[in-house]
Order: sequence, then C-alpha cells, then structure tokens
Amino acid sequence: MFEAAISGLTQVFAFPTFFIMIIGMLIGLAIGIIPGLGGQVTLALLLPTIYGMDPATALAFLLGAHAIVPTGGSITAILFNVPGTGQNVATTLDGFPLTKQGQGGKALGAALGASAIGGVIGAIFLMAIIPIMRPLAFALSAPEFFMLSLLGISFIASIGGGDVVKNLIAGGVGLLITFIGMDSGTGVPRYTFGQLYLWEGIKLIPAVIGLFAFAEMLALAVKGGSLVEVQVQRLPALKDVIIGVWQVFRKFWLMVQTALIGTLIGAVPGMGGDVANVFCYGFASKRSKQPETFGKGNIEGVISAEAANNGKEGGALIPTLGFAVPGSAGMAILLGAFYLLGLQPGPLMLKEKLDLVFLLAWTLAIANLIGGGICVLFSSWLARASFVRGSLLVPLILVLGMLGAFSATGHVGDLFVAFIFGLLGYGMMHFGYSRVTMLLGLVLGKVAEKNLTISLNAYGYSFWLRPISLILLAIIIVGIAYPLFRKAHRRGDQTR
Amino acid sequence: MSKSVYELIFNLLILTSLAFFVVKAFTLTGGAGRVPLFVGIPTLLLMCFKIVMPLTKKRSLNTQGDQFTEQSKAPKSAIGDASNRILIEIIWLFVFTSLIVLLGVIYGSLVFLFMYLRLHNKDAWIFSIAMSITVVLGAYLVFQLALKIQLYEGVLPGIIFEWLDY
Repeated sequence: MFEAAISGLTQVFAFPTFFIMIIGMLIGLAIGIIPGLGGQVTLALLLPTIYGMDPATALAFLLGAHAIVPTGGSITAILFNVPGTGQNVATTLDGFPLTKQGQGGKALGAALGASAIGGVIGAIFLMAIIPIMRPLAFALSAPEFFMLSLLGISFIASIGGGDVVKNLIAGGVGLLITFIGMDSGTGVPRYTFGQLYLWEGIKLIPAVIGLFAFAEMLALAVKGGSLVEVQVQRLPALKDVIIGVWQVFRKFWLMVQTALIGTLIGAVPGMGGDVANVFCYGFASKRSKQPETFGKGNIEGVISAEAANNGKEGGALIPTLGFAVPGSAGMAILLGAFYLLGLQPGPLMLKEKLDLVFLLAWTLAIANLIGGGICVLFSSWLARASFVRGSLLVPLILVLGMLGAFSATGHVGDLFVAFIFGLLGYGMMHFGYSRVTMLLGLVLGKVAEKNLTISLNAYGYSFWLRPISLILLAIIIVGIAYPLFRKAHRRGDQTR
Repeated sequence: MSKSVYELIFNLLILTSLAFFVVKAFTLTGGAGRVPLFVGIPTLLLMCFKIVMPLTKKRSLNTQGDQFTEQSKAPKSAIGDASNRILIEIIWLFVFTSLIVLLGVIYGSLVFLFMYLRLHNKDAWIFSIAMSITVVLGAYLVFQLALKIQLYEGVLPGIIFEWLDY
C-alpha cells in the first residue's frame, strides 16, 4: 500500500504528467470562472484529447481540470454575485455582501484558501479510506455490482433534485442507448438499422459533448445577453486577497469540519457539490456565535461553503473508484474516461492499479494547492475572463465540441451523434429531465448488462436474493419510494 | 403553442423511441433482447405514467373553474419568441454539422465561425475573419499536429479535386 502511494506521487511529478496536469488545471480554471460552464462541460470538452496519453497522464489531466472548477467559480460568486457553477451558490450569500462592503479581496482570499485546503482534506480522506474500501470491494461479485449500478442511477434520480419519475426515465433511456450495437454475449446486432457505424454502439465522447456542451450552448444562445452584467468599480488587490487567506487559518477548525462534511456528502451518489455547499453553509451558521450576521457578510459563510465544495471531490471519488458508481456528473464522465483508457474501476483497479488510485488522490491535493495559489496571485485577471460575451462563447465551444466529437473515432457519424444528443440534452434541460442520470445510464449500461448476464447465468433469477444484493435492493426501493411518498404527503397537506 | 404542448411532444417522442426499443427487443434472437426488455418495459411504463398524469390533472383543474384558465393566459408572445430563438439556434447547429460533412472539419468550422459571428452576432468584418482564422488555426494545431488526429476532409473537396483531376 505504502509503495503504491509513493509510486502514485512520483507519477504525478513525472514528465509530462505534471506539465499536462497544470495545463488541465488552467483550462479548468478558465472554464470554471465563466458562469454557465461547469465541470461537466470542461470534462466533456477535454475527454477527446486523452487519446494517445498514458492512463496516469490522462487521469491527472482530467482530474486536475475538474478539481479546480469550483475554485474558479468562487471568484465570480464573490465579486459579481454570479456563481461560476452550481457549487458556488452559497458562496454568494456572504461573499457578495462582503464585496459591497469593500472587503471583496478578503472574501476572495478566504474562499480560495478554504477551497485549496478543503480539497487537500478531501484527498487525504480518500487516501485514508482506501485500506477500508479494498476488502469491501473484494467482497462483492457480479450480482452486487449490477445492483450497485442500479443503486447509482436510482440515487441520482431520487436525491439529485427534480422529478424522480422523469429522472428514472432518463436513466432508463441512457441504459437502453448503450444496448445499441453488437451484443457481446450473443453476437447479435441490436438496433443498428443496418448501419455498420452503429455496430460498435453509440460512442461516449460525442454523446457527452452533445448532452452537456452543445445543450448548454443552445441554452446560452437562446438566453442571449452577457454572462456577467455587473459593473465593477475596482477589482481586489493582492494584499487584500492574502489577508483573506489568513482568515482561513483563523477559522481552521470550522474549515476542517466543513471540508470533512463536504467529503462525506460527496461520497453519496447524487449529493453533489451543490448540496455540500449549501449544507455546510447552514452548518456554519448554526454553530456560529453570530448567526444573525450570516447573509450580511460573515467570512465564516464563505469559508464553510468553499471548503465543502472542494472537499467533496475526494468523497465523490470513493464510490467511483471502489465500486464503479459515480457520485456526480463529473465523476460519471471520469468513469467513462477510465473505460476509454481500458481501466476497470472496482476491485480489479484497487488490486492491480492501486498506484493509479493514489495518483488520483495526489492529483486532487496538488491541483487544489497549485490552483488555489494561481487564483490568489491572478484573481483580478481571472475575474476579467467572465466578461466574455455569451454570443462569442457559443460558436467557439461548438467548434471545439465538434472537433472533439469527431476525434472519438474519426467517423462522420460521431458528428450526427453529437448533434442529436445536443438536441436531446437541450430538451431534457428544458423539460426537467436529469441529464446526469442519463449519463450514468450511458456509462454504466455495458457494465450493468455484463454483470446482469453473469448473475443470471450463475445464479438464475434468484441472484437478487443474495444477502448484499437484497440489502442494496432494499436501499434502491426506499431511495425511490421515499421522495415520492414525501411529495404525495406534502401535496396531501396542501389540499387539506 | 404553450410549453406544456411542447413538453407533450417531447414526451411522445421519447415514448415512441422506448416503444421501438421494447418491440424490437422481442424480435432479437439468442437472448439478446433479455436485458433491453428488463430495462425497457419499466421505463416505458414510467413514461406512459408521466404522459397520462398531467392530462388527468388538467381535466380536474378545468372542472375547478378559473384556476386553469388563468394559467393558459400566459404571455403567448414571450413563448413564441423563445420558440423562435430555439429554432434559430437549432438551425445554426444543423448548418454547422452539414458544413462539416460537406467541407470537412477545418473549412466547415472556418465558414461556420465566420457566418455565426458576422450574420448571427453582427460582429465587425475584421473581427469575424480574425477570430475565425485564429480559432480554427488553434484547433488545427491542437488536434491535427499535437494530438495527431486525422481530421475529416468532407465530401465536396474530394469531388472537386476528382473533377479537377478528370
């Protein structure tokens, strides 16, 4: 275990991994700072570029970019009251009032410091949990992994927000799409319409680009106007930002607590950074000696919210690496990247590629520290990036997306897949279907089918009666039924 | 058309696709349709439920009098404007896809960027040309030269070069 940890660390600092990770981080920062483009769009656009990279470099590149997105998003949340991503919503509550009081630099420093150290705490937690996670993962077999795939989809559908039924439909459609192509078990082509292109199935990269990047761009183009419409008198000075970083050390215990809570929330599939951010803000306001100052410019509100949203990435990696159940959309795309690189998260990876697991944890820690440092030094410059016109961003992202979609297999069919998924993604956004659940279906479909087939062949239809499968099934049923029951109960109360 | 009508159309499209997946799964041989049926049937049932439920709600609201008629008086011009904007953006995305198929990735992107910036955004000529060339050049350097990805060359250039050779 110790050797694997050291090997993971040396691989991060090896050439070209470290250099490529820094490039990924800079891209993540640039995208994170632009409101409307989150970690999902970042990963969707970067996914095609990992072809030809070795797994260590590719994963450090993608995770480096993804880990830093909420850090960049805090800059616009504090200075312009526009959260860069959904994970920075609670940051605006005290961050922007502090800016209006002329303490924007202090708030920014506190947010960046808390993000950096919160991310490191999440990474340390991940490393600490690996020895516990290994025997747990080894104890599971095909029926349990099939149930875990369903659990991941049902959790995101039920607690990821929105209409549970619509989210489940989205997950089902995602799974069905993965059945297009040659069935690996029987060799029978399914839903191919006689097209050779479809024999290998729908490729993940054009689908992800369409579902996230194109759909977001369509929404941005339809919305029109600029991304940030606030006139800022003066951007904060470096001295003020450094004073803010010092505030994190003055509230160190609060920062550690909220980062750990964020990490635990991140480990639950469906409970992403948005939940961690708001939950930890509420936690900080409850334990504060001056709760009445929250929402009016309390630095504790900024620290707690930002420590949580960066800390949760370490937690989100736990189910992704241990059980191949991604905790969030970003992790689902990362899981897709694992498969593209020929890696199989779960017991096999924890046994044979443990150095890569540690590499991811180290990447998370190092990316957060370096990214935080870059933001502290260049926050004023980075803030200017958010003034980019939405109408300029749309064609640029579309071109990059099309190039990326095409590079998946070099087949012109990929362009049409991206186009169709772009329309589908926009429709889903517009009518309240969860794209994350669909993505999870797309990523987990093949694995779920393989595990179900093995389970049926080995245990017959009673495979779900195995003890762990039964527990997982019970959790799935409760997870789906509870929000539906609560909704019906609330409706009943209203009519009464 | 109101948003609920568009939603109904969207839901029906998904329902049709789901029905296709399920019906086709019955025809697959050698057990290849087993897992698609396992997933497809519950999803299809959920979709039917999702379509039927709002219709029954609407009926009950209609019987309650003004409540539903208030909702149906939502500003139609705003909905119409939004629908037009969506349609325009979808057409632009379609044009871009078609341009790449016809002209290839590099020339297709170049023409699309220029057209979008100049015609859609009404940016200045110089800016539109400079921006298009810079972005496409950057993309060419990253994808073709750095990542060594052979970019699609399109249908038209091949036909034209063949015709010129002829």
